[in-house]
Amino acid sequence: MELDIRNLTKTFGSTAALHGVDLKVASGELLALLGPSGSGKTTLLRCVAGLEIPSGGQILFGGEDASFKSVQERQIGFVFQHYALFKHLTIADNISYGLRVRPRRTRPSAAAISDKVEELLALIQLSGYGGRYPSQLSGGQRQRVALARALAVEPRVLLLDEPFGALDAKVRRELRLWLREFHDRTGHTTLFVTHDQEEALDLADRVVVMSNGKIEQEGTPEDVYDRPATPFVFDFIGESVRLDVRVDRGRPFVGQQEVSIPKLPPLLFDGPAKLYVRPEHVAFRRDGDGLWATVVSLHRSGSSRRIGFRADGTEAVIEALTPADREPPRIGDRAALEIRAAGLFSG
Amino acid sequence: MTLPGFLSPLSEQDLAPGEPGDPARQLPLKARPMTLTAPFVKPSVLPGFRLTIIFTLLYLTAIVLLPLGALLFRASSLGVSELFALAFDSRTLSALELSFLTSFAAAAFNVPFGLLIAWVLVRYDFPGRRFFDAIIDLPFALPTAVAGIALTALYAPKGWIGSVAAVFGFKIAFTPLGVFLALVFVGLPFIVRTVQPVLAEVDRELEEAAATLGAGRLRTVASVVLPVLSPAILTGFALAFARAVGEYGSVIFIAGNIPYVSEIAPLLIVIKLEEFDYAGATAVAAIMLTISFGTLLLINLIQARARARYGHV
Repeated sequence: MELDIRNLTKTFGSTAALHGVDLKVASGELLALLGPSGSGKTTLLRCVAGLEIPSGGQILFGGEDASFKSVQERQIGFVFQHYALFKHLTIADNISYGLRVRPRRTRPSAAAISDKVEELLALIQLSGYGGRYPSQLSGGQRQRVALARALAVEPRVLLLDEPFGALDAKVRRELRLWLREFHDRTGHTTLFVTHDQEEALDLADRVVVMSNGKIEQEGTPEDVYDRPATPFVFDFIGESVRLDVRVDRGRPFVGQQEVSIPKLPPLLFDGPAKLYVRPEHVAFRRDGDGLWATVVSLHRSGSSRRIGFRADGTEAVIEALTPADREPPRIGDRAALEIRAAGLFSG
Repeated sequence: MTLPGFLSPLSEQDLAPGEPGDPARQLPLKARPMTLTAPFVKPSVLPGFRLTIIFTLLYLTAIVLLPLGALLFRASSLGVSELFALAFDSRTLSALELSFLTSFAAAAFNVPFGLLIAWVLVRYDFPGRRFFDAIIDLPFALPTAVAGIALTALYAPKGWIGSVAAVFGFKIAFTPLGVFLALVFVGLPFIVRTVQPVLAEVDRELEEAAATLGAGRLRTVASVVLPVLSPAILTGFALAFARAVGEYGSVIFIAGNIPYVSEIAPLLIVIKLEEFDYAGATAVAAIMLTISFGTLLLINLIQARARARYGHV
């Protein structure tokens, strides 16, 4: 089921949570909504679910306008950050809840329901746990039960709101891999909200980066990491340093030195600008051409070493990332920096 | 001459840390309290268990157990046959029946309506909400005799409501119905006030989850919210019931106190006391105590069972 969101807006009182969001999700796609808290990603997800009423715009499920449909009519599966399992019901009863509440004429027989529960328990690797209560399960197990409960009603779209947010780092990673495999097998159109970029880049087919109720960029994980479209995305995803530069006749300058960036497209503006550089795109040599700078800091972190350089004539510190086994320079050494890739934004 | 490593005085270097004899290891053993610690007392970093448990036990004994024990002692001195004769006296029986049945009915009646009021007060915001919230407590605060007189004035055959009811052939005051009404009045706050905080804490995501799974609103409330509220409802019911059984002031005015018809058990006790029939009063009191205790115990057991099963997620 493909999903088409058109010019969606949502205001809470006088504050706008979504400013005209347009988004298409292809059938069977696993899409991550990534952004800091307050970026509107959860509001967007809840509007799709029907848990929030949008202030304007349309939501189409497979071409059919669902904007005014109730939550119950939308046939979505929703997984909450804190599982929202019914703790007075057994795992089996939790999973079958969505089938049991159906009106009599569409409700499957008791035998069909119990078969479905067994099938889903096997799918989430919790066969034999049907008779237990949620309080007897670990966090990761509970979240898998919540997923099975959402899948039991055969939803047209699966919506996950920070599904791994309440779990510890190790379980999080395991469950992330598991969800990816699970999605590849079952092929549900899936939207998931996260503020964890590693999770989004690792798991999703496509990532939508949001900030302040707007989409900043959408694209594959490679796109958003390697080619951030806006200063916000550069800042939010991965690591980067920001340098104040000046563009003069299409070429960027730091202080009096020109910064040569091989793959930078020609600049169509002059004046002050911001240059965003990732540490892994900074190389340094002891001689030759480049941006001359002085080593001001050295910091070993696991398998790599960060070296801070202060470019001549500025206060800004540019970091470079090198393997830890490479002979490091000393503080005060001079080096020529080569910036292999960067983003340059006017302003 | 000394035997090596046995009787010779050990220097500090001879001891590896953690070996018996290492001063660092000896210390916790010495520090362990060798006082009157009962075997069920687990060591805890929170001090004051012994002090508080002793105080609690003494206090409960003095305030609750002593008077009740004295009552039972007094009743037991009557002798079994005499006690039974008093208990199964038909006037006593009908008073007990009226007391417990109307109390049960009033508490049960208060459950749905108290729940509804709590729901409205918690879930909706409307002008005057705080005012209505405050008047819930009035039955608590009012001297019960005042409530009794007010209710009687309303429901008596010449009162505002009583006169209307009389047109349709109903008599409210001076009948068991009047008793029931007075008990509904005094019991309402117990349900509302026990349900309210729990309802406010109910995770809205549970209801949203049920809705996404296709459950309609009524179904969601019945299958998701009510089970969460049920321990609070049961507690409120137990409190309202207990209060109603012991209620005296508000009932005696409206009841009319006609023996075999609208005479409640607490009143019967007072009547027996006024007649200097201490044995009879004690017997009725002991029976009331036993039934009340049994009911509350049952309710507690149901709650304990629910807790053990569902745990706290």
